[in-house]
Amino acid sequence: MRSLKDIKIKPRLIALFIFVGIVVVVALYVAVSIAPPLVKGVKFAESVADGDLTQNLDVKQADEIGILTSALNSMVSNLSDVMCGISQAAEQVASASEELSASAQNLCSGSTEQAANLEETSALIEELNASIKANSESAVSVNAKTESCAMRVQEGGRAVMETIDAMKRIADQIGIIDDIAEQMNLFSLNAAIEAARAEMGKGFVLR
Amino acid sequence: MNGEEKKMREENQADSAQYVSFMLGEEEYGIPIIQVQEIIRFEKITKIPLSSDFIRGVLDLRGRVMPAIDLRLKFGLPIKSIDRLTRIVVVDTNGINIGVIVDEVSEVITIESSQIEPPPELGTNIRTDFISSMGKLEDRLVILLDINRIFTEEEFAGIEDTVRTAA
Repeated sequence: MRSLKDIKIKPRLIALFIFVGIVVVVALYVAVSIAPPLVKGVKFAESVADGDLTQNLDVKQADEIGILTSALNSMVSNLSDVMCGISQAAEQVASASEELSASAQNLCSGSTEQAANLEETSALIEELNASIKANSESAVSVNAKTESCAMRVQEGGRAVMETIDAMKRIADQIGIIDDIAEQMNLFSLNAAIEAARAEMGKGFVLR
Repeated sequence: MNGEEKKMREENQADSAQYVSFMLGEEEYGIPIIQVQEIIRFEKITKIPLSSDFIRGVLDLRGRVMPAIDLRLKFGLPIKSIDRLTRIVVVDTNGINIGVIVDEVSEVITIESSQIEPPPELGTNIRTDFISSMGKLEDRLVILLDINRIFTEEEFAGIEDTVRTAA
């Protein structure tokens, strides 16, 4: 019984063994040819994720793993290029920012100065304003004084005219007085002549 | 004859004489008061053509026409325009009344005979025979004129003609 059974089971067992053996070989093959590169790839990806772009995945296989590897490599290299560009741009941005900052600082100090100047200007303008106000007040009072002065001058002018009139009248009177004095002088001269002739010419006939 | 008597009386009675003094330019002249008839203001003179240039014309003194003589012209002084002081001294010369135009009549002055000097021989711009003497007053000299000798006989004849023409 048993042998029969053995006879009947034996091929099946062998096949099973063979199958198992094949499976094991295949599994081993797979384990050997796929797992390590995958582990490498995972590590690579992790390091890339950590920011290390200097790594290069060193797997040379002609299967999908190889394609994946080369794709990863080219990705990393492109990434590196991009990062490089970004870095340069960032540097430029940084320097520009620095310049901007310096300019801003200049601007700031300029503004401060300007503010101070403006304050001074404001104070000066206020003073100017006060002066102008005072000037305006003075001008008003000067105007009033000038007006009264002009009135006085006019009055003075009238007085002078009246004086001149009076003087003219006086001059006329003096002329008349002069005339009278001259006539008086002439009369007295002629009277003296008459008297002399009357005295000295007694008894003489002067034709 | 009467003239001689009068002169003698004059000399005896008084040693002073009265003169009418007048100005002509810078100088003061005197005429014996007895030869002066009257002093009048300058009045209108009518010009007589062809008369001597020192005869300014004739004037009418209350109806009496007499020649007006410019003594400046006669004495060779420059002509002076008539002003309010200009006077005409009416004198009696050789029986004729003549109006003598002078710059100004000053006064009647009395000169003592001691103040009278003989006329100078030289040093004046008029002929000395006009000048009877010089009156030496305290502060000034007065040229005393002999009015009868101012005009030559010819001039006198001219004056008489002028009067006749005008009359």
